[in-house]
Amino acid sequence: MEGRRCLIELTTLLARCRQGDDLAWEALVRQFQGRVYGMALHYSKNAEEARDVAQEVFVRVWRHLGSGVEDERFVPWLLRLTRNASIDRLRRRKRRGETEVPEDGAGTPVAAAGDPEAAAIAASHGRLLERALAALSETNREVLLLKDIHGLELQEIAGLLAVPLGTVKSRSHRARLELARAVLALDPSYGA
Amino acid sequence: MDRPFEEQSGPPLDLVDLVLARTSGKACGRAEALLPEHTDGALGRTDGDLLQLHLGYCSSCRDLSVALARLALELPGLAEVRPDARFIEDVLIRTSRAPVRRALDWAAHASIIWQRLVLRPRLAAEGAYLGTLVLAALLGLIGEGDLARRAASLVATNPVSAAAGPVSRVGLALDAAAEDLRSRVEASVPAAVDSVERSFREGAAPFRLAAQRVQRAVVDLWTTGEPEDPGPRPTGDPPSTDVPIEEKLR
Repeated sequence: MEGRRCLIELTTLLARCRQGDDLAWEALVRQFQGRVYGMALHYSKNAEEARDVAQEVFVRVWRHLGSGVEDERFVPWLLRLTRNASIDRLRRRKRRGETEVPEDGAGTPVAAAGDPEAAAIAASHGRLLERALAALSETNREVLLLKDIHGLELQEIAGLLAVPLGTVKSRSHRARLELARAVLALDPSYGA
Repeated sequence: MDRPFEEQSGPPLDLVDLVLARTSGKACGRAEALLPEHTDGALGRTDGDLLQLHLGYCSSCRDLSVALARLALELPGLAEVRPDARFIEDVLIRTSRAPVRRALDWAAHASIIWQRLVLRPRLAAEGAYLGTLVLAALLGLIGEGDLARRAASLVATNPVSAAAGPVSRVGLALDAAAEDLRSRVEASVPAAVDSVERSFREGAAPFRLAAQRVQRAVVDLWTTGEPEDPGPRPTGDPPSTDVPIEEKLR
């Protein structure tokens, strides 16, 4: 099943999971492992930490599947869980006085899987974007991560970050411009 | 040397820049502010046309616009990063033994708690224990030393008078409490005394009545071996109020 997408509707999948169907649960984990791990990796910058956080998130999802999470709110809820777990982990690490250990090759972007040549190009672009993202301020990077990478709605982000909708909108615009300038500074041909 | 007037085909190429430099300055700041919305396709028509005109002449804004459009396509590709192959196995191992918590409303919770209480095997023993306690309290056996010895001596001697004692003590205690309440309230609110006393006595009346009934039942049970006869029961069928069938047919 590696690399295959689950074609079952999320609502059906969640209903089966709530009935205790192990296969449905496995399919759900396979479907969302990339997003959860990807988001955790963006926060932690460390493959092992991201792996632990992602596991923890799925265990929490399993425990709270029956706790009235609406199906259409599942993805934002999942991403919110992941963000909160990642931030908690970072805070614990800071309290312990540990420093961040950035790691290269922490995972393969799913979009790069398949054709080797396309994969190499995508990986190269991915690295360029990662470097440009690293140049952004923390606030702008987080808005980009939630909106442009993970596709959350502005309203959801406003709730998540506890800031007004207008603030999220203006931050998002600023962040995208900042990222575009950073990418062009690293590779002027990106705008050609 | 300047070209002759008839050879000039248009204004000087740098005229716009010269004018802007002496008036509003470059419009790139305004263009950049509109670029994100332009990329999202959320820009109004007039603003869109003005921006397109600017992008036709400004290469730096054009590069920025192209970069923004590419980012909009490529950033979602960063959302998913595949973890190692063991990840799924580890998650499944950690979740396979734990049951899914289900959302229940308060009625379902109450029903579950009630079923757990009622279906316990110890329920009968607990009921018997509680009944014994109530009986012992009525017979005045609690708080006076060895309960078993007292109960045995009570049965051996005169349980009727023993049962009557505590019951009448309850009635006397209720009267005393009412009197005490009356004297306390009388000092502060004389007008309310009568109504308070009346309501207290009315409230206590059922208890007193119940105590008297228990006393009578105990006496009857001990003397005759049967509860008090409630009186002759009606015999035969009750008189019918139906209209006879002949009347109906007629």
